[in-house]
Amino acid sequence: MASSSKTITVVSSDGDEFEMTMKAAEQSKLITHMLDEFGVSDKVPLYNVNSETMAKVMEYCKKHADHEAAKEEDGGAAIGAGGEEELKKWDDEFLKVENGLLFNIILAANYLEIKSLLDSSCQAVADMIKGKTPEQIREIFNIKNDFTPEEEAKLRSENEWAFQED
Amino acid sequence: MKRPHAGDDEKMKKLKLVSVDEQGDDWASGNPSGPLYFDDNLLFEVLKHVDARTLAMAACVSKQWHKTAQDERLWELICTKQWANTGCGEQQLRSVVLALGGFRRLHALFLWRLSKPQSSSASASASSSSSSASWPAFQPMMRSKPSPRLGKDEVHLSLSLLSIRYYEKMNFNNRSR
Repeated sequence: MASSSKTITVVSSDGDEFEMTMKAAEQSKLITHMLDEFGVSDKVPLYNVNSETMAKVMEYCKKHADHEAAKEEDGGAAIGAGGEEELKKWDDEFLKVENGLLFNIILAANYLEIKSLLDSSCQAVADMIKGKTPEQIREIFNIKNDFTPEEEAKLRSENEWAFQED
Repeated sequence: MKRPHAGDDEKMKKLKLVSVDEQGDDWASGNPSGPLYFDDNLLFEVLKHVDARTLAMAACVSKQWHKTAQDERLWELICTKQWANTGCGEQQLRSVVLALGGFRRLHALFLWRLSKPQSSSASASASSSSSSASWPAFQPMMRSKPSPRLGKDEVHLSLSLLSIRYYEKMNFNNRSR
């Protein structure tokens, strides 16, 4: 890939190849560093990310790269405050996926060092558990309660303040 | 930000049997990561975004969640979010608080009560037994401060009370050196 074509290829753990523009690639600090180190000619192996997650991450990077480009072009005029809100709405819709994929997106965003995606996706999961009791949290994520009744009682008394009503 | 996996893999393997989703994403670390696999890293990142009460609830969910929710860095975030300028450096404050028992204790014992409007003194008297004996005397002051944002005075007060508690728990024999 010649650098003038402004695209790079990344390879997922499943062996699938994805093409992304340089601008989109720059959303990820990890990819940027790898490109700085090793140049754009080779394919970038991202073996910690599977294809399904990669596709979503690509979509995110492209959307945010396009948004940034639009901001630069119009000098911020066309985007304005409405544009930021629109992007936020797009992010919210984008993250409405089932839990497994959402968690993989978080892990991928962490690995690829895409701060905005990491923040948004973590916030989405955080919102799921806000104000919930431990039992409810276990239900949402199908987590096994591995405490003994005594341990659980001790924990509850330690955190009694949180269980009190306002 | 990246931390090695804790030794909770065995428990995670059990989770996979329970889930019915077909996805079965294969995380490169080789762990059987079903759709409900909670990496310690992931959990830490997520818990950075919750409020204090949710964090305390999270500590009661499971052993892995408990370990992550106890992390002082998360509680430091929660404490410092509420603080206005405390007048001392971040690193300095961190050293002091950690030496005196940590941010989690600071929050659970003192900050939590300061940041919510006191509707009755009953909630304070029913609190954990380790609270300072002088606490009830400050109740009237709390009632007039419904705002969750804590100023320098509240921060200094909490730190003082934390110090008092620390000294109360010190072994008296050692102090007479």
